[in-house]
Amino acid sequence: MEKRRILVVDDEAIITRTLKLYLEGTGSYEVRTENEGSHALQAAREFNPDLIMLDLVMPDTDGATLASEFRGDSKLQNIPIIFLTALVSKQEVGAQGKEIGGHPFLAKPVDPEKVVECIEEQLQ
Amino acid sequence: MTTRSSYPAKSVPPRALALSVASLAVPVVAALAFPGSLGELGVMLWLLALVPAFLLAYYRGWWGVTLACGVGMAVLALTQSVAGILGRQIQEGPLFFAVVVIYIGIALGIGWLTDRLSVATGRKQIEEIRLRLVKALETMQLGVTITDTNRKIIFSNPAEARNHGYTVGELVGKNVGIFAPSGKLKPLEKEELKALSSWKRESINVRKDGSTFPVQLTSDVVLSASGDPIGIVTTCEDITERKERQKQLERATRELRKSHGDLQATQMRLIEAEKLESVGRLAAGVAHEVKNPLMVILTGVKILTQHLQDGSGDIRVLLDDMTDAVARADAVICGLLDFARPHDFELVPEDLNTIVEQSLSLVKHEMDKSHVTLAKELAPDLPKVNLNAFKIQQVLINLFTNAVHAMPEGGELTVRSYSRPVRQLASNPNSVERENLLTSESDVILEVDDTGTGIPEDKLAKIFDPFFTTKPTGKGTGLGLSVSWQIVEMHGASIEFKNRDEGGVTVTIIFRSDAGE
Repeated sequence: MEKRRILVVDDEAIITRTLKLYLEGTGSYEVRTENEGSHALQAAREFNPDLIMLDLVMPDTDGATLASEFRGDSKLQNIPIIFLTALVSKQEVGAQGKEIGGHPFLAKPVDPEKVVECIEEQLQ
Repeated sequence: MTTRSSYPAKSVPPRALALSVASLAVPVVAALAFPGSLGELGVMLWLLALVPAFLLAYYRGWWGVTLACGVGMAVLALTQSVAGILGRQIQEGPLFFAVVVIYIGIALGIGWLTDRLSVATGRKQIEEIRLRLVKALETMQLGVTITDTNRKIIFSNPAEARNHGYTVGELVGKNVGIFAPSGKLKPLEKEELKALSSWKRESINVRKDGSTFPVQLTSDVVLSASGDPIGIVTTCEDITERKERQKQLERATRELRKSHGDLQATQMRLIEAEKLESVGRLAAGVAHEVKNPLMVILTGVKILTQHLQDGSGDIRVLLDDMTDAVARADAVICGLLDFARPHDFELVPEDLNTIVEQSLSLVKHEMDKSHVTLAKELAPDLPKVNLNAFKIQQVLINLFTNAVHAMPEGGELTVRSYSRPVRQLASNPNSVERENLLTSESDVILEVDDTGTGIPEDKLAKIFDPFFTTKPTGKGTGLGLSVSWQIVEMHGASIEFKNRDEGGVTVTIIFRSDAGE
């Protein structure tokens, strides 16, 4: 079966590195990581992912802005997005239910098995 | 003070003394002028004793003595005269006789005149004093009444009459009980009066129109010169204003004391809130920084677990422990954040008893495990309270769990709910007193009793402090009560912990319900 392509964007390299390790360890995914929010759009265009994981708060930009940029890109607009965040209050992340702007979000620290579950849900 | 009458007081006037001395001089001069009479020194001395005694008695008003002295002197003179007329040996010459007669005449005349003069002057002075006294009494703003021992009014000043709505004329002759709510006053026995002597009291007096007013009365028994009670003088001060001021002062003091208490309580709450708020802010900052590393550890542990060979059981246990440790650290941080951001909840009218039941069902397992029995005393028809069911459930589970932990050897958990109407101090402009008015609000009270070990008094003040815990390390985050306190505060309710006399702790939460809704 063809591996699904996941782009993980988070300013913390240790997060992207361990997630890549875990997800690729499952044998189902090919992961590209990006630690600069401002490079995320370019990286997505190059990598052409099946799904994008976005950290909500980054030094140079934020997940919500990036998500709207992806939506504005004809090539990327239909790619599912999962938010990851270290913020906790729903008000802080502007969440409604379990979604932010229609995208699911996962609060760190999250069990990577749950991450996989969420990815699979979004890919279906 | 007993008043002993000093009128009419008598004392020897200096001029009486002078007259006595002068009366001595007259016979001495006479004896010197007529040496023949010196032989009659005995008679002379007698005269010398009689005359001053006569004069002294005359001025003191001892009329019997005066008369005796006068008659004595007259008899002496007469005897001398008769002896002379009869041609007997006239012991004294006619001159002496004449001198004695003249002398007695002069002495009597001077004595009489002086007496008349002195009485007239005395009367005039006394009359003047009496007028002044009466005038003074009439001018006084303080009411004065003098009664006889039968309590009959013999004098009342205009102030007294005015204060009671009478004229002076209406009062004289009446029983002084006319002023008392109880009516007529009984006459007092002499001995009673003597024993009373003087007395002060606050009382209520009645006006002619039946209205009453508070008075300060001071009575003194008046004694005659011989020490017998002859009446009572009473001053009567209208103390309506004083009483009113006293009441105002008492009210002000009461209000001041209450506001002081409120202020202190508010200050304590502010300090507490500020303390919790700053911990919350700090926690929020720390939480964000800690959550990323926790995520890395959790993911790392999962990766390591996947790479484990069969048979490496110890390592698997270790990795599971690490997963648990991450979960625990996350729980602490979530607790702190809960604490930092308790504001995002809605309040809706809920039945407190329902929430109590739900919360109890969630801790039932733990209670059974610890052999804790449950006693429910939930009042039916509790007014609904505006609250967030989820948050209050969080508080209740916290309280129940704490109670169960305080009874490791088993015990009884009592959950009680009831309501009571709220009374509020409201001022009524028509009344001096503030009145307790019922409002449409009621307090809905929840009490949780345990039969555990209680909380040491020195730790009671700290129980709401974040991270304060008496539980063993790892058993509690020390945030449960801090969060509970904050949730309760956000509901405008209060929470209080008290050690029970019979052991254990009572937690009281008081919600305010507006039954008018």
